[in-house]
Amino acid sequence: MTSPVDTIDGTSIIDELREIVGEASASSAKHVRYAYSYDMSFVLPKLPDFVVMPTTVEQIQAIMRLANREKIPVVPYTAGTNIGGLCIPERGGILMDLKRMNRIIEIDDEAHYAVIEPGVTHAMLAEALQVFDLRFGWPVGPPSASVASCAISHGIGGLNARYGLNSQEITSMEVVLPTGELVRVGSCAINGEAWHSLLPLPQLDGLFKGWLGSSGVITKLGIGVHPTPPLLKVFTVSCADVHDMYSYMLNLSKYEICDDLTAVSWWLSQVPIPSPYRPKPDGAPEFFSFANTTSWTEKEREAKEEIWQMVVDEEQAKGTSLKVTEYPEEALRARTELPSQIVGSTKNYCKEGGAGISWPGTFTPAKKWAPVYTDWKRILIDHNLSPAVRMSMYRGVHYGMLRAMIPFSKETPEAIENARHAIVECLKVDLEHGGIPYKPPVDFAIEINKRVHPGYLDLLKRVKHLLDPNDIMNPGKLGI
Amino acid sequence: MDWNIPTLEELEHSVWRCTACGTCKTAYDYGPPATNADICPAGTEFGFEGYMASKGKIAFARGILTGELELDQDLVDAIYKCTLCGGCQNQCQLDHKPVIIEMIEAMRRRAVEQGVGPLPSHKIIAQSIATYSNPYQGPRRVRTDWTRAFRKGSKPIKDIQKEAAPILYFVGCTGAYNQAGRVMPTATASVFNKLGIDFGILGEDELCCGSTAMRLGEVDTFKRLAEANLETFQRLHRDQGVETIVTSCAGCFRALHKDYALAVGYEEAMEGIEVVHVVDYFHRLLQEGDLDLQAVEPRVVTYHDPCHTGRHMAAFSVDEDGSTQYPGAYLGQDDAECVYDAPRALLEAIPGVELREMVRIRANSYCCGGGGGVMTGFGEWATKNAAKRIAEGEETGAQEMVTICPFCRNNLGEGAKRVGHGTPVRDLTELIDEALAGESGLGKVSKGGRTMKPKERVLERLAGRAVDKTPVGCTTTYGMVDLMEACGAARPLADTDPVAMATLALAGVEHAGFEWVKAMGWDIVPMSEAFGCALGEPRIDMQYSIKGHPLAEGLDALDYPADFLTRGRFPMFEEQFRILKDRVGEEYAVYGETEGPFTCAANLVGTEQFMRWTAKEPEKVQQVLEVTKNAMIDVIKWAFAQGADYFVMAEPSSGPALMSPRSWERFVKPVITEVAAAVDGPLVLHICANTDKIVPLMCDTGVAGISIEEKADMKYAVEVAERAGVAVFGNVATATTMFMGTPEEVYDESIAALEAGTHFLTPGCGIAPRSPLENVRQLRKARDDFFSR
Repeated sequence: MTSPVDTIDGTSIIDELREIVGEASASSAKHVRYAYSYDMSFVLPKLPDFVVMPTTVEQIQAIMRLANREKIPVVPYTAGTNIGGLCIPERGGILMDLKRMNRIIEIDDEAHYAVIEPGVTHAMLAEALQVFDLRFGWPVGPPSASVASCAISHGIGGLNARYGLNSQEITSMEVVLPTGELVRVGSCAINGEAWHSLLPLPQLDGLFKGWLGSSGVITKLGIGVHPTPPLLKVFTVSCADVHDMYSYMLNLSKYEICDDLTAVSWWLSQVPIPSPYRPKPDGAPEFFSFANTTSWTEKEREAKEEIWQMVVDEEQAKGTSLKVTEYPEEALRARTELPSQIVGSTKNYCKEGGAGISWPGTFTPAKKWAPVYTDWKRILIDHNLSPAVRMSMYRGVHYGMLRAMIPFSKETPEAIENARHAIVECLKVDLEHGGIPYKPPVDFAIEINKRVHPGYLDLLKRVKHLLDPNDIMNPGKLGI
Repeated sequence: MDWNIPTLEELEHSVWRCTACGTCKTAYDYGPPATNADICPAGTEFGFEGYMASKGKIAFARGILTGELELDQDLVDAIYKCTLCGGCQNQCQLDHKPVIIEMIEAMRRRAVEQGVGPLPSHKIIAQSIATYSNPYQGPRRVRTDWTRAFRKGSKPIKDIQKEAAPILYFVGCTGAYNQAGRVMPTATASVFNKLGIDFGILGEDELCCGSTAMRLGEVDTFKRLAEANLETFQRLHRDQGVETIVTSCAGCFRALHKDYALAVGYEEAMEGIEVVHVVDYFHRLLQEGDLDLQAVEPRVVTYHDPCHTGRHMAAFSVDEDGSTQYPGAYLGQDDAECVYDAPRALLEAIPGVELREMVRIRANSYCCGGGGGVMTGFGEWATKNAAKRIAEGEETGAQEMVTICPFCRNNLGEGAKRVGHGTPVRDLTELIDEALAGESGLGKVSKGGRTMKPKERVLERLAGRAVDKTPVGCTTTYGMVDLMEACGAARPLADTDPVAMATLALAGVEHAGFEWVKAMGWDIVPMSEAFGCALGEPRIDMQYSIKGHPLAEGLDALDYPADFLTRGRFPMFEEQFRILKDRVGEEYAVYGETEGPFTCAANLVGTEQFMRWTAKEPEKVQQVLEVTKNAMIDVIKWAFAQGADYFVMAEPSSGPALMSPRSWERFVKPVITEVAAAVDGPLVLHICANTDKIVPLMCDTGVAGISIEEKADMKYAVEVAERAGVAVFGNVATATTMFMGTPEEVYDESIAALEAGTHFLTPGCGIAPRSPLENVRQLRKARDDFFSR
């Protein structure tokens, strides 16, 4: 099978790609391309024209030079597990599957960083780090998802309350630019053996984080990793309404004792999320919270428990609906035993819904969580979707992640459009309250761009053009 | 008979339950400690997402169902690039999990239905199954070839259609037709016999279980076979008292257990009949205290879980009525029927066996790479994948990999060859057979209990009893220059000096891999020398030879001197025997060898004249033979007294190139027969050239073994010899192959000899002095590989 863009100037693109990566690692066969045409999200499927699996930096550079020469789009791909359609090729082109660049190059168990290639999965890194009693902020993605992709897309993980976003763990980068040049940012730019820090240099890493793969191909990433305290204690409470839960989280977060401070609505605490919407049982709490703490000693653990108990007492003294409660066991396991096959496989997300899951995933000020949640709940129930909402504090500050996991069936276009419509409506509400979507699908980018300061948009375009003059790098994803 | 075998359309709802999350791509367990490993052979090999685990295969299904993908040859090829191992299924947590394998097979069925599947190589198998009811294109009569040894033995296997038995042993096509696979039914039947279990087989009337057809998408063929088999099972239950069907093939087990259950009315059809894998059956006996496993030679093993006996046996619970979650919700997995614990318990119960586990085991076992038609469709990939599994096994420090599936055994064996370390792959039943004492029914009493030591292996085989593997060595002369250089004991010193002679003898063991040792020099003229023949001068690459004949002018000087055994090199031989017995007598058999009485007589007279006498002056022949016969008897008795474990009479002058079978019967046979009758130890008779016509005569002399050249037909010789209770040595060509050929040629010829059934793998004659050692080593390598398949 040939691709629509397989012949340009009498040159066979696929032949050139095969020459670069080897016969078996490049394909234009439709059945090969097809598996990359869709993901879990509501984003409509679109086929790439070629798929390549490079294994070296030099191969990536050669592919980028070829793509620039021919002005063919390139979509970097590791596992395709995002739920924003980020790897679905908007304009076809070359899908660059990086799963075979999966070496863990270094784990410095003294300086506490690791250097990884983009194909390294959560499962691979978790296994390797445990040897050194080290950990990372594992997200609730599948164990087969990419650590680097999550980090550069401002993904979150189980250590957000303590260390912030996974992108804040990045210590150095090696990147192939859209034009094929190899660059390094951070300490590794000065000394190829040093991957410990981005600072105090100008933070050029910002050119590649949050750009949705549209500004370069990350080939190596330094990330901070952390010692694993032996004592885990999870404090769980429930509230009858979102305001009370917000009040509790705000109060507890100021003590900065948690690795993860998260609340989930009743619908998200279910395994699986009810789909279509079902009302929660009478008397069931609206929200549950799990506050994961880790300690080195029993005394430290007791001190944290003392603080937590004080917060509980204070909140209950306010007359809130807060109760100390048991969190559903399987759901708790899914939250503490990360990476997890339970949430990773979307078992508790879209098992009942079907093949689809998307979200309004946002960073939103904590004080806006309650009003946004209230609106989201109404919108989602109106669309017969469960308000499966999560709220998480970031690094002790009073904003964080607010998102709703929306499972839906993909068996009919109507079901997909219903979900898309509800999610975009939710996003609009959040944007009005000062929230910002992360890993946004194009529909979100369009909504963002309607609202952003013109100077921002202009700067974004100029930087993009500077890095990618032919606009070949995952084009269309930024909505510009 | 109606079947609940779903079409792709009937599975469409399940196809849309897959989120493409990719959890299926890797075998990950939180632990702690966390473990993670590749689980999909196809994904590992081909990389693209479409080949990757169930996520990829379901993408194909989705594309076919939506019409976005055409079921063309490219896609068909991709659909068959899957071992159907179910590793991905074990990771999945979603509602389509229970039917992941069914979805892939449904695509294959669709391909077959549309005439674009299976692959061309598969079509040969499919045609064979349709025509011969087995995938090996084998005629029915071959199905029982493996039972031949039992027929000749003490416990012929019951034809269950003629004799009632509570157990039907369903052998399976691989056990019956695949040469290497035959060890499984042989070991199974041997164990049954040792335990006194009443069982029978269908023999030539057994049909393929249909597993291969089902996996390939040839559903009509599968149904035909399954329906016929179900009918047979019912009839045997009703008429012959069959209550249990035992299989030693993982594919048959899966088919009978799971695929047949798709038949409407399966429960009724199989009422009163239990299907059990032989390992589960043995495990029950172990638990009941009826399996007395004895110590085997200490070894470290690792265990490979086959997919078909492992995760394919998992039962999935689904919320059919929605009472727990919602209709169609996958609720959980029950591994109770998966054969995980029984093999491990059996291995751990064998004294001397240490089981070391690989990382990927039980439900996360890494497929050998041979299933789902891959071994046939993509042999190179299958072997490459198996090599990865072998390497994983070697990382545990295991010396052997044990499994319970003939496909895994074969494919892993190929993988071991690819790795190059030759890790033996064995079926668990073989180990159990080894660890059990008793009457196997093979006509030989197995010692049971352990891998034999070389000496025991040689002597047991020479005595006509069962051994763990064919002994390998040389039963003629092996005075090779390479060996001399390797051990520092060279001819001519090694022809006369007892220490050098012994050193060179032991070099055969140390450097060539032989399993027994030669005494009495590096030529076949010691008796002639003692009778007074003049000998040529030996050189490093030339052995002693006859230069003068004391009776050439007449028989006046014919005499058997009283001091015969102190003449020539016999005193040196005596010392050499002592050295060898001291050094290796416990571990290795030692044999003595000289020329036989006829060759000795020809040497004394001159071969040409002596041969003429056989036609014109037979009385003179008899006269000389009478003397050499007595000398022979004395020499052999002397050799046994020195500690020889057996004795070889080399009779090159009595070969068919020099005399007719009739003359042989007249002049040679009576002498050899008398010699054999006069001595107490085992004798081996070596004759050069094409001995086909005299093999029956050779076997009728009372010797324990015959040694033949490559010109002779090994298969025929074995057949004749086994009837006479005689062992056959041979028959790799010494001149054309071991001396002038390549190592590969020696290896191939060795394998051919083993396949032909040789009882002792040896060169067909004395090894030429300038033969490369690397060539000679191939005998041992071939033997080891042959028995690790």
